[in-house]
Amino acid sequence: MTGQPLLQIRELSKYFPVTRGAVFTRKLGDIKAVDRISFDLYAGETLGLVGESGCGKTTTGRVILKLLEPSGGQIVYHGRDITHLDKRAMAPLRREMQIIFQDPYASLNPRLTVGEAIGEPLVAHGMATRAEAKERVLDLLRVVGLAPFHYNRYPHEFSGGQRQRIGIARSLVMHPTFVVADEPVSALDVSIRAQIINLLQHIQAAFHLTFLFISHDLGVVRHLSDRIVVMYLGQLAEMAATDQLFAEPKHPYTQALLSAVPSIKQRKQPRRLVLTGDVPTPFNPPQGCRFHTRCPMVMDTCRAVEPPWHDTGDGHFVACHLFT
Amino acid sequence: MYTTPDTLLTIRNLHTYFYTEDGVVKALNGVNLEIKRGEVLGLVGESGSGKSVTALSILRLIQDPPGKIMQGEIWLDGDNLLDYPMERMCTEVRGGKIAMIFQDPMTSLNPVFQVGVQVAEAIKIHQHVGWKAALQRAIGMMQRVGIPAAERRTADYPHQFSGGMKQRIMIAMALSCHPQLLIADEPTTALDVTIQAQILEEMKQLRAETGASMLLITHDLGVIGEMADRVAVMYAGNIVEYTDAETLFSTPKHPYTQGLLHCFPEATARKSQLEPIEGMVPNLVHPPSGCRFHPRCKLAMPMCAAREPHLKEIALGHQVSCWLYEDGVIQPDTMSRGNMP
Repeated sequence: MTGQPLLQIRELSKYFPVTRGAVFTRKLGDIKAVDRISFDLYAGETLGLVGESGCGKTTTGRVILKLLEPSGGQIVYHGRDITHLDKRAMAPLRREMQIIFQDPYASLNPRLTVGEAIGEPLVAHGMATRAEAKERVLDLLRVVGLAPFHYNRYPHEFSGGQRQRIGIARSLVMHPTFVVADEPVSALDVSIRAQIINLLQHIQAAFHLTFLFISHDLGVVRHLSDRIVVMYLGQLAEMAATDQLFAEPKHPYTQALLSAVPSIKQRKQPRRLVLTGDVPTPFNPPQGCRFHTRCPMVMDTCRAVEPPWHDTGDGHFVACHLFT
Repeated sequence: MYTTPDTLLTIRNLHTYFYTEDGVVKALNGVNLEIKRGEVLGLVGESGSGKSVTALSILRLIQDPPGKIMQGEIWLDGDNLLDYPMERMCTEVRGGKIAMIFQDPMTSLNPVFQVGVQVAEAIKIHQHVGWKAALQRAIGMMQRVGIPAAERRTADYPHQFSGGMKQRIMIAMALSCHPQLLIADEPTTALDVTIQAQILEEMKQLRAETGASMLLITHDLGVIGEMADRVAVMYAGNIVEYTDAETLFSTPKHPYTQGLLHCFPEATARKSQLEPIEGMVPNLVHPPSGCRFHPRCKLAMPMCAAREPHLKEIALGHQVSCWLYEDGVIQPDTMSRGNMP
């Protein structure tokens, strides 16, 4: 990847305080949901963000969009530091940065018709009159594969796949440049999932979008992403071009993750690498490398020293003492 | 009844309906299935295809009302389970001869009892032993499914366990009475991939040790590929294809199975367009006439809308329910497009 990155994330953190007591509140500590992560996102690419539940994928997406206030670090968008912009200064940027949520059932207001739900942001931002908004919405309904007569229907009249199409139309209505897609196909059935994956590819090309594609499904991420970031317990483990990552995973966690995916091709072959134990809690993460409690290649340094996040060449980043 | 000695469970022409306000949902529309001794039969399909209803019907756990098993036979050991009085189902079959693991380990354990007690209870009821002996066996079972410090952890409550550990406890409970058949309904769907890998590995090993048969229900063809000996593909209350796992992935015959495999990103080149199955799963109150898949089928013919196809053996051990494979309609060889790349 060359050229100026669209988005630069530097040492970005999000901590959630854990407190006890309602009146005399004591702070017990922090849940380090996202802990000092750094990566770049280039215009027009799809960056896949993978990891298991609780690793901080969703929080990362929301902090980047400033739906959550970052606890530390920097977000640079189009060369401009937006980390500390207030609500008013963020408003024009909100149009360019959109999100598609996982659960199409929970993310649509049941009292708004589909037309209202999709067109609402246009009117709210004062970008269009109601008549113009309607025209644009009808246009978008066609783009996402719905029909004009759906305009006056309510969300409960739609299936899961159709609702996700509505969510996608809504994310497109403001002409965004950057879209965070947070597990957009995870709640969908296999045949419907394929339809939505095709739609996401189509709109990316048609609207020149940059995607941060968050998912736990490596098959889908591999299919859609140019590059992939692997996250573990609030930190980045590895980042590389998709083919590179699948061909030569460096971090032991990435290796385990890839070999854990049940495959229709590697039928009944013995697994190469099955991790033992559970993911530790981010409230009290392990010292040193956070993966050391489950790592099959653990060394003494891993327990004491946090491995640095560094480029091993060709933009293949890894945080592991095996490669320092 | 043409069961062979190596057949454990036979389902014949099973119809299960649900009577709802909107009408009668014909959830199972004549399901025929056979589980051999010691095999893993995968049951795959999308939500609403009738996978779970099939499993619940076997154990007669369909809630009545609104559900009802309308007709059919479920043969286990020469007995039709549908003829059993409910009491015999409870003491002998459920948890005894047939055990079940549910998708959601968080809701299938009782939060107010210690897990050791919950595992031991099943042993006490089905094996007629005292509490002490049952608890001892429970500890042994929990060790076998890979729960560290099992003896100490028997006194813990479900909320003190992670999702993967809870699913292990469910497996321990299910296997504690040496069932002949283990029904696992999406056993790893709620789990993370690395934990899923652990659980699948564990289940493979335990199954090999106990020799139990397994009915593995999942929507994930990857899990099927990893675990199953034979596979039945369900669509809208019917079994549409039924064969061994190798054949299913190499030469799927039913257009729905072919479509399902094409939906998998793994099977196609990166960034290429997938070939989805257009349309949606039909409403089973008013299912499509004839073949229930015909409105979404790219190869539909006039007769597909008119007459319902039935499972037909097109090669040894390979059954398909599709008019394309009736004699004289089309030669199966011209269908090679379904091959995996």
